[in-house]
Amino acid sequence: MKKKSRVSFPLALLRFWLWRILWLWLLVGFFIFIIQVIECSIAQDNEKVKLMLDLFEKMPGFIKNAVGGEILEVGNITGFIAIGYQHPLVLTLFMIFAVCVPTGLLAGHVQSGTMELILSRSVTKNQVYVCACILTLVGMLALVVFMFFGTVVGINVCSFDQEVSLWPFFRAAIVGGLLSGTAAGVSLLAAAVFRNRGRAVGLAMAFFIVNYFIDLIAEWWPRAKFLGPSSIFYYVDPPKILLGTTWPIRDMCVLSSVLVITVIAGGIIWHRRDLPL
Amino acid sequence: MARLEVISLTKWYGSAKGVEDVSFAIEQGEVFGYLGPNGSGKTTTIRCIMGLLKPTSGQARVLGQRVVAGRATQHSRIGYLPGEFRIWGGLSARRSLRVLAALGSSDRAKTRREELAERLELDLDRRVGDLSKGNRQKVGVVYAFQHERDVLILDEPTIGLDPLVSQTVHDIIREAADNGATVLLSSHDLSEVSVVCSRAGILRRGKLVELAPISQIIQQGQKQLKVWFVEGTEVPSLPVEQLGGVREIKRKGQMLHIAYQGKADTMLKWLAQFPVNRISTTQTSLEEAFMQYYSDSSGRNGGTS
Repeated sequence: MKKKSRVSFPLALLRFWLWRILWLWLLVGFFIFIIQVIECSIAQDNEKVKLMLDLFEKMPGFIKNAVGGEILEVGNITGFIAIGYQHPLVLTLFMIFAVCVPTGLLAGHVQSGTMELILSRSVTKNQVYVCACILTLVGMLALVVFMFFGTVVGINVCSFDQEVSLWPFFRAAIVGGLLSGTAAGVSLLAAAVFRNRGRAVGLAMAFFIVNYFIDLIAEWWPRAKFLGPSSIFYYVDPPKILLGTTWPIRDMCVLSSVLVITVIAGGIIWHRRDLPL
Repeated sequence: MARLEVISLTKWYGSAKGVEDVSFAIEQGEVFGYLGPNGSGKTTTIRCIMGLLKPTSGQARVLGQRVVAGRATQHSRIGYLPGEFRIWGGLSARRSLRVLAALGSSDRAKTRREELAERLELDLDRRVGDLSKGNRQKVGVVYAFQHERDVLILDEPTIGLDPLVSQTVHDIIREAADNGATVLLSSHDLSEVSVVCSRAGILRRGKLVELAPISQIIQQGQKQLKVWFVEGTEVPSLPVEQLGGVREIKRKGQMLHIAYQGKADTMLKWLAQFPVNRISTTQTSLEEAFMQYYSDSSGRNGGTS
């Protein structure tokens, strides 16, 4: 009678959850893709570029810095296309996915009571967490691919009077992906802590908004410059990525560390806490 | 050897007690009733057995294997119906059940699911969100029984069901036990427990206060007498200190309704002093026996929360 049953990985859960988030993933991916193509079409028109530059000159410096800073100048097409990588709308789309998916899969299922049913089957708590991690992190990676692919399509569809290299965008996409991954890690942590989805979303959103504004304030107010490194956005430096030829290894290491730490911390909390309480 | 064992199980939620030092064992083919008022710790015990909660101390063993929280211990051999069955409202009942069946061995789940739906008169193609409370509970019953399991853990399986459907669910439970399944049935419905279970445990404020066959629990309960005294005579007051374990339930006109424990002999000897017209006895039900465990000396409910 004493037969130890080995629990195999719940691919069925992974499939089921994938179907449930697919619409959000496709929607967010589509908009990110379109924004990149639109950005390329704007960047090919010199009149529009000059108009945008005039607009940025009239605004406070930190706004210009937030969308590219010193790389935004006439003739630097790369800088203008890259606006699409740090546009607040794009960041918002990434954050929507990063926050909604893990909180929905973990805290959402706990709150709705369906987590009790899932865990009453041959599925361990760790496997549930791993499934949520896979869908969140692979989903974020796929969105980064969408973003880069949008740039590739945009550059090939639009005609520029100079050759535009794709390498800086690839580097920017990878670093942007790490930043998004960090956001997803924080959301996973929040989703593992709370049984109420609203609270998990609130905590994750608060983290991103506070980080974003810390970065803006540190850029804008010299006295607050020392706060910069405490924000995750500090570790994405567009001029360094787009104008340089090397990978920003230190920044990538910081973002990767935050990602790994938050994902592991979330996993430990999820494993140790009582469910469905 | 017991198929399901709970050994000195204690669970505290911070400073609040869930269950304390609860022990029982259930054999193969046995249907064990688990009774107690709201907040007495029934669901806590069940969730510890399912590995959803980590016990503060003690352990649960299923099919000889110690339950480790979060590790799905023997879940491939357990059928489970949670006390509050909630499932994806946007999906059809069939799709929801199929998804859950796929999380583990789905053996003959499809055939069994259709059979059960037919017996319970449940339309599996309707969205769960559109189903009535009773029909959602039927989906829960199908979920628990769609696999042929060695152990069944059912938390209030007939809640919200009409008597006819409840009867069908009782039949399904008995059939499972006849086929060798070990059943833990938590219920508020005492008639259900007396009909389906052979043995029961009664929880009160997180402690197991009784663990015995149903017939024994009923026997141990207070017996009742209704005594009509001769017209025109005074209805006496009960000498509670002298008789012990006796209490007055009701007094109306010449009638005195008494509950007592132990043998009728002492009670009858006391009554013999008075001009009694007529005496009737009532059959003690499980409910009456159970109420003694529910109520403390002040008559309050015995739940922890």
